[in-house]
Amino acid sequence: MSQDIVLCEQCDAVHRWRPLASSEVARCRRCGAVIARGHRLSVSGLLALTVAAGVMLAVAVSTPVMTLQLRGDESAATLLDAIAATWGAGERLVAASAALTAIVAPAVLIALRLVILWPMWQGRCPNHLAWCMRALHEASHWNMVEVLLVGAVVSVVRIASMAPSMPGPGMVAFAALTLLLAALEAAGIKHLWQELS
Amino acid sequence: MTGDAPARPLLSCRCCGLVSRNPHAACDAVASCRCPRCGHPLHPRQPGSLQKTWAYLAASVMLYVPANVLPIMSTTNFFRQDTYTIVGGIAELWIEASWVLAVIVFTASIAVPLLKIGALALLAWSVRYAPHWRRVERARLYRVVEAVGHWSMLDVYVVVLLSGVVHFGRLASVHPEPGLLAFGAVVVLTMLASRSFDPRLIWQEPRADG
Repeated sequence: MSQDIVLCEQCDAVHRWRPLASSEVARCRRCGAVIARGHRLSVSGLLALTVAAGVMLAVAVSTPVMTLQLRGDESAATLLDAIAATWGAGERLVAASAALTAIVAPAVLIALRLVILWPMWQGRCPNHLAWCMRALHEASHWNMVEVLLVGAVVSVVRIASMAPSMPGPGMVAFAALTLLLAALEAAGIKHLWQELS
Repeated sequence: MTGDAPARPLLSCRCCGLVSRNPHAACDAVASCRCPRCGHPLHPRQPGSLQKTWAYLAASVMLYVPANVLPIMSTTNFFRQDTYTIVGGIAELWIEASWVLAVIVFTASIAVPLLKIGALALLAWSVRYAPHWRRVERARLYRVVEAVGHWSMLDVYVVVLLSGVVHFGRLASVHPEPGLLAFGAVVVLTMLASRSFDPRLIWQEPRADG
């Protein structure tokens, strides 16, 4: 099938395709949904963003999101500590869903992009490309890092009435990760199919 | 430039966007096939879309009651025990004069789930009973529901983080309570409901394919 036709994902309206300049957005004439965006990032640019996001995720899960002081005692919790505490308190499904949406989903998004982008950057065709692209499509719906970030801000304010609390380095890392993942999402990955075929 | 694909001779892959010729277009069969480029299943319509949407919606409405009535979190503060429901947590933020955060949490935990359930019920109902009514607005409504859905997880993360950091025994500690599980389930079920709804149904002509 030729590539000069594109269907709107939301309503199946048929449109003639033409390549988009960077920052150009194609919208459906009938329902207004975004059909495609023009991309300005090269493979090496995408790879750089992905590596940065991976580093930030590692920092974000391994350093305290917030610290709390009470009568000389200090308590600092990383996201992993918080999930372990919830698991220990018996709310295992809640702990598992928090881990899936705030750690596993972003980790999978970053890992799959690395598997696709690293060989392309070296001029090779990635292995298992179709499988990776499909998994990426599914995983992108379950990444909720930005919600976790707002949740962390709310938490710091909520416990301030109990004891002096401070945001930790993990929160800064989560903020950076949120921005990087948003940039990656906007930069897109589906257009790489055209470069590969 | 624009037009419908009447007998749906073309299928667009929802994963990679490749347009393929529908091998079953002539016989109008609902048989599915896979995208030749990425292997994602291709369907003229998502199978059982409305049934799944209604089922997930019914489940989330049932769980909505315990999610709001049961406490989601309990605190121990200098030997005093308190339990908080969703509304209780928002009230506390408001009393402490954190108005911006109170509005954000109210929007994420109360307004978004209710609007989402209402909007999806309206969308699913109108496919059958008001197919021509305000199609562009309904399409936009669906995109909004898809975009804001996951923000309701906010309160779940707040309780998880608080139980992780506040553990000074009887001086001060926070524990998650069963209402949190019901609330998390409402969020996940409404997300599944909106993902099951096929927005292409909004543009379907009545009696076109049942």
